[in-house]
Amino acid sequence: MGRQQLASTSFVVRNKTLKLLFIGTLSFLTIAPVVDAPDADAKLTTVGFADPLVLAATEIDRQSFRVDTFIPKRLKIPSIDINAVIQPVRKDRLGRMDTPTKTDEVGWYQYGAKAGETGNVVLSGHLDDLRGPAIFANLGDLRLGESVTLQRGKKIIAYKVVSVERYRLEDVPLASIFAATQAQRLQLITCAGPYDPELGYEDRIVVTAIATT
Amino acid sequence: MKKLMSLLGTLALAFALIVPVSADGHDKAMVRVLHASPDAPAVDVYVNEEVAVEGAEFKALTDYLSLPAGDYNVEIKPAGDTETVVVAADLSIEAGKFYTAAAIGQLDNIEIAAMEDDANFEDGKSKVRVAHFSPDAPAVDVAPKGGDPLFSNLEFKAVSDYGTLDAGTYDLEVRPAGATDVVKALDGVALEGGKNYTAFAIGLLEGEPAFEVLLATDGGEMAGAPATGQGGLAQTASMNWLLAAAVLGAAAAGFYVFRRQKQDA
Repeated sequence: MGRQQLASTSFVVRNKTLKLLFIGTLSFLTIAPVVDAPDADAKLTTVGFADPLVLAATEIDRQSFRVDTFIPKRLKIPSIDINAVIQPVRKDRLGRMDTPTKTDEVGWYQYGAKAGETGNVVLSGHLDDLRGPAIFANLGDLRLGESVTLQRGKKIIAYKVVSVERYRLEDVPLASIFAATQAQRLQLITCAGPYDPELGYEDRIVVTAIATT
Repeated sequence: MKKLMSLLGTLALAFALIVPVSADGHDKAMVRVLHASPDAPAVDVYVNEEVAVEGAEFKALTDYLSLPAGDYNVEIKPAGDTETVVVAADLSIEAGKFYTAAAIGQLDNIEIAAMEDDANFEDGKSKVRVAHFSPDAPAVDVAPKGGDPLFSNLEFKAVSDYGTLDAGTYDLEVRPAGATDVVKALDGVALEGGKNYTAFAIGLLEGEPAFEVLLATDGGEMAGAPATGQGGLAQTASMNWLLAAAVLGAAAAGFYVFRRQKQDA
């Protein structure tokens, strides 16, 4: 059996509203040399080229899903003076999203989205430690439209704040934060409200930002 | 959206009284809605006669709505029109599970296709399925570029089972079932480990809106809200209050003494 190789070059003009316009597809059919079994009768192998063949224009409609994503390593929120290291976190023994031990660092929920990926990028940070304010002490002061960036080396994604909400712990909209979404959101969570020595803080502040880059 | 939040708020309030709230929301069922009817207008989605989603257009896939497990009636109405029911369906949903309800088909034959979304995740693997919701497309195969089909002979309305793939980036092709020509090339489909996906084929091969693939992540690894405080500020705050009270008290006492002295004078 000879091998046939089909080399084609297509030029495509795309237009959403008009029908796709084909400029043309020109194909050359080349016949590769026949590879004979070694014990075949010795004979001249011929190498031929078929006549150039113009096929009917075959248009391949392409859709690209390529995205540039990264695990965020640094969080910057200039308006409230945050420039923090981000650590990946999972869940604690009680099934809650975890938070880094170091209270000047921010946790990235590794079951959620990476930066640049469709979905919720979820970050947690401490309001305070035993002595005083921690990394997210001023999270509730964020205003709508303010800028938040996630970085890793030279990779950077910018978000803008679209909501700052305070909820009773039992009312935190977990589905909006942890379930899949077609949006590209950043969710920043910290504590707020009255402090119960056994149960911890009774409220949560949730800041939602959407990707602008 | 506001109404959605208020609906959810109302539901949460109603059920907070009866159902103990678990830390991570696993006592709820999660439902999202896809508008995949190419010629249907923007719609509102009603859940048990309350509006849950407003103004969803073709290709819109809503966030998951968190609902108590149970039986629901889902109605789809043209956006802003409270009277006309375009299509309705009864849904039975279980706690801890995720569902997608899709309005599919041309408006004349519109129907709701409901499916359960896989929210069990495997490290380093992606579970993927394909939903054929393009009313005028033939039965299709979905295959890696030039390879054997991963999903075969899916007709309109078919939702495949989930298949498990290694996490990675794939170039895929949608082909007419059994054929090698390509209806749609899907380039650079990035599948993250530990996530599950549905590729919804929507739109029209002949006409607008055009055929395309909507890639959605399914379910979600739910968690409780993080514990993000150790009380340092609360103690400082109460200390401050004590201090403030002490200062006020001293000032009041001082003022009283001052007044007494004046009166005495």
